[in-house]
Amino acid sequence: MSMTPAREAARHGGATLDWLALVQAWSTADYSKAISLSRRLKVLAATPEIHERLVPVRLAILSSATIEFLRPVLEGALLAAGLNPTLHVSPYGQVSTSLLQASGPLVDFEPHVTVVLTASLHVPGFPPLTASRDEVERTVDEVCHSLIAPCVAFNERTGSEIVLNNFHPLPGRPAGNFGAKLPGDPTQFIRRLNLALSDRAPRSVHIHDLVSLAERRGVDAWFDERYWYLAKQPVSFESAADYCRSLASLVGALLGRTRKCLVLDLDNTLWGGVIGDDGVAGIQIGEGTALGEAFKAFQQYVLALKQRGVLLAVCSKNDDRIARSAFTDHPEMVLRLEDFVAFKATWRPKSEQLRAIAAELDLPLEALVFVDDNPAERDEVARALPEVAVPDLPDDPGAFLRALDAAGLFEMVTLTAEDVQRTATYQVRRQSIEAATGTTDVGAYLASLDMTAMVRPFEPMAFERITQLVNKTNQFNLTTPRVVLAEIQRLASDPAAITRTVRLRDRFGDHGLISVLYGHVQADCLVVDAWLMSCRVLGRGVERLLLNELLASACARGMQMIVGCYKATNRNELVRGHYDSLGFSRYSGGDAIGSPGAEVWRLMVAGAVPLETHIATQD
Amino acid sequence: MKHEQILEQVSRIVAETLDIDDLRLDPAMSAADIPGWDSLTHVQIMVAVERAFGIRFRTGDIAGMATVGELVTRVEARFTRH
Repeated sequence: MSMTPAREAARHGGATLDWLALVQAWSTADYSKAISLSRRLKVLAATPEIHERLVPVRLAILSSATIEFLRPVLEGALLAAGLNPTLHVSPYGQVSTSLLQASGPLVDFEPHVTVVLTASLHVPGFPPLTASRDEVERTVDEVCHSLIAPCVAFNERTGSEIVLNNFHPLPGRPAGNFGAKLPGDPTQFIRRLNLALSDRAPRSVHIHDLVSLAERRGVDAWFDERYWYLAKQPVSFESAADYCRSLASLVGALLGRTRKCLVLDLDNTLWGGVIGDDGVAGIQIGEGTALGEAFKAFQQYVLALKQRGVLLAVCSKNDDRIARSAFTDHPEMVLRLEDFVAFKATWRPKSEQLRAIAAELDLPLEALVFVDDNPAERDEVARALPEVAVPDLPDDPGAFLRALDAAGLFEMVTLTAEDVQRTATYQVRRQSIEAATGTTDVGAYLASLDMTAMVRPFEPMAFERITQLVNKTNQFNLTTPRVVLAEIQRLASDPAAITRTVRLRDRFGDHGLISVLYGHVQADCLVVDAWLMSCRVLGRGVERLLLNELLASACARGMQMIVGCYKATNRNELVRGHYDSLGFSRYSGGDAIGSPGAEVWRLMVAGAVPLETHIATQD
Repeated sequence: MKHEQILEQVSRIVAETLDIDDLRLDPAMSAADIPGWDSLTHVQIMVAVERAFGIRFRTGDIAGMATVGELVTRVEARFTRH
């Protein structure tokens, strides 16, 4: 279902698109920006259209620190995570008392989730620096118990899930490097305490892993003592939005708002290069090149997601057989075909393929996350299927892993045997289910891309790129010629030749020179000798634009017909129907034109009308 | 950066933080003269000012700014140290 923004707005209502834009902006906002975004999220959340999509949650917060500064940002984070929060903040500092009271405002509030936020500086019982290991262990036991026991009691009484944070190290190393060997060193103590919390927290007490957040940022950036002294602010303002995003992901997971299936593009997402053009030997994956290693690391991360229960699926514009060969034939591929529960490699719009995947797996669209290196594909999916999470990826494949991880879309709160088995379960299901198909409004999508093409004859500046594109294109290539630069040069100056290149630009950027066509005049025929295009712009209508160019040329030169050949290779199945789709018919009298074994097609110039495209042209 | 330019940018930050359109600050004004400028939003304003100018106030300075003019002077002092 690809639509223009206007049509999309009609289907989903304008609020949905505004909402999506805010949620996307939220994912990277800092504290100051997050406050204003939160304000706007709150306004939209009150509209019926958004309200009905949100899961209500009653969230209690108990803290020894000040949470008033975090509160507006946390509300925004929860909204952005698809939750509609009602907050209850217990009085400052009365954590254990509130949890242990048999009645009172907290119990009356009946929280779904209770967040107990303890700042590192409020950890009770730091041992003296010179304390022995036994003394420190005893203190760890006591502190750990004093933190967990009230949580367990509260959970047993009310059923509320509990979120307890662990502790980042404090600034200062009074014993310097020797502190690493000193059990009573404050950082050593905190580390031991964190381990004890992880080991001893029961199922109902969930650890909010602030340590790993703080480590990623660096403790110096995570904690700003100035605002601690001034206002007991437990997290620096620089990191406050990260804290809230992470907490919101965790709370979302507790409410079942977690994604189940990771749908992946292939070319330039799971490996470097285009399998259809570069072949199994030509793609970059595995040791040997920096980029290959980066893609390998990303695949290993994806595999780890699968091992903990995330379903994997493929959604790629590709030839199914060729796409699969990358997994079966490449020795360094980390992911294998059997890791995927759905595999869609077709030339249909991706939103359509995603719908089919959801139907096949019997999952709601809300369960899907779509990962693709190409911003145009991400945009098509995000607009057509706002329910699907489409994280932004950076343009560096080496940073895909961090970007997907930071999106926090696959939080989990337990690990069950079922999680570990999930892929196998779906594999069995899949074998009995036919892929469903959807429909789509391709024209409206194409129009929304704001494409502009520059169609030029062969020019010296482009000779190298033309030669390269001719020689490396395998899929969208009607006759698969192989040329040297001198041949391109010769064609450019041959008056009997017709040569064209297409550069394409859209609102996502410049795709560069992406299509090449050349031919010659023979009697009253314009014969197309080569026609090829990069698959990156497949389905945009560039071939229709070129046909219009050909028609204009043929008319200008007084030609009667345009003749073209399709020479099948094991790579170019994609364009078998190329001439047919452009209105050509088989030309039985043209055998002398095509090489042996080629199909010859022709289009009579008289009566042919230019085809509609969604591409503006520019000289 | 001149005193007036800093004042202008601080005005913008305060207006945005307090969600007030068209706020014009005067150096003699104190927080009490501006609706919505309380102890909570004060910290938010300080954070936004630090970020906008790329400065860090000293621990003791964050709370103790009596007037807008004093805030601008402190920004100026930290800012020109770079």
